[in-house]
Amino acid sequence: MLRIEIDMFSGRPNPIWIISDKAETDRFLAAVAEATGVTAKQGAGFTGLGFREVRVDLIADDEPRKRRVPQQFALASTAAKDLKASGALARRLIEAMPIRSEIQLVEHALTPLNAKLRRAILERLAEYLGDPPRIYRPKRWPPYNPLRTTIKDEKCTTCEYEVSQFNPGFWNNPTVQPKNNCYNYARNWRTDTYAQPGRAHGAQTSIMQCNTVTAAAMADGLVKRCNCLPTSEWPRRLMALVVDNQAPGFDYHWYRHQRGGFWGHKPGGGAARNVDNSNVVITNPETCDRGRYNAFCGYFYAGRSVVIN
Amino acid sequence: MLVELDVFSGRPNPRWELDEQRSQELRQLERRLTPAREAAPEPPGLGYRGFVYSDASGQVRAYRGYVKTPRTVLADPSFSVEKYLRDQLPAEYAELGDMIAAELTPK
Repeated sequence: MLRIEIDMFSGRPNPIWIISDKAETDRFLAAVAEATGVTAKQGAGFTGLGFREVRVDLIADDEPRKRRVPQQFALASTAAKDLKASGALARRLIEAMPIRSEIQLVEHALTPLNAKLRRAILERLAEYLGDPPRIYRPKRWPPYNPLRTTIKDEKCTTCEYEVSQFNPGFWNNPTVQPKNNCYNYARNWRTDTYAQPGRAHGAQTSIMQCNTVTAAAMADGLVKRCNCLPTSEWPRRLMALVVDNQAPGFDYHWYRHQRGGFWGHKPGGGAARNVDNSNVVITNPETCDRGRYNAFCGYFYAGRSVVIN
Repeated sequence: MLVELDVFSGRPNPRWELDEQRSQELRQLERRLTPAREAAPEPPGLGYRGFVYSDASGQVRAYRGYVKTPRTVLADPSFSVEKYLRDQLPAEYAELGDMIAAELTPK
């Protein structure tokens, strides 16, 4: 026995009927089994208004199963690999729709099966197959995390990134603090290896200048600001790089934009903080007191695919 | 004795071993110091943050004329400990010597 549902209405019940004839059921399932790419997962195709798919369900637990025929599937779904062949099988089902079903369903009170309905379904199916609608995929939002917020980049408003609640306690304990540096903090990845730009990808530099550290960090996957990262890279960080250029090649330092409009950082094995060398909350890494780290190199995004070590 | 110059943020700080004779000399310098009457300054986030080493009482930080041990803070107005350790810097860090020298002046 098969339950057939034409998924096409929004308010009233969809046209539904039961195929109880064993020979008809077997013939239809055999046709489905012989074809390839005709079935799709129910609800996987077009889900907007109008004709969407024909749903087929095997409703008895003791039906002989045919290979390659799922227990429930959709025909004429835009998710089917061969929509044309799938549509032809759907048409065959609809053309055989009973005009006065022997098996009465509650849905028939509001959606009675009749010749007019059958014609309407066939017309809509033909329109649908002639110009299949595009599948609407809702924008994937990252999972809710109360410690993170997605914000638009004020320098390039088409880009977004995530800012986190300032959480120095995570870093400032004896087992974590000495083994993680500014790069760990800015990327927000505790490696316990005193991470170095590029080291995870064999691109570490011993020359601590803007261009060399930038190249090393980009080997890890960082991208320059305003090269927007997709939501698949969530959570995305905004990082800032500076170097000590008073004695070229000495050292570099990184900052991370935090929730609340300020920047956090972790000087070497010292404590994570959100203040500069003058003890002022950092609202702009370009102008804050950075001691000897006078060269501002630029801003970068770091998505989830950025691996450091 | 293991000595660390706490100065970098990104790259690892310079670390090196003092041999027994130099360790003894450092301890002698420490013994000549007297307790400070005021609190030692806190190192900044970025830049020179002093020398860190361990003695019998635990970790010691010498920074800007003060030697902070787990038990007390010693005054070192002539920067004797920091100057001694600066002079022991391994050759590969010799270029840091001038930067440290600039820090070892009364402020």
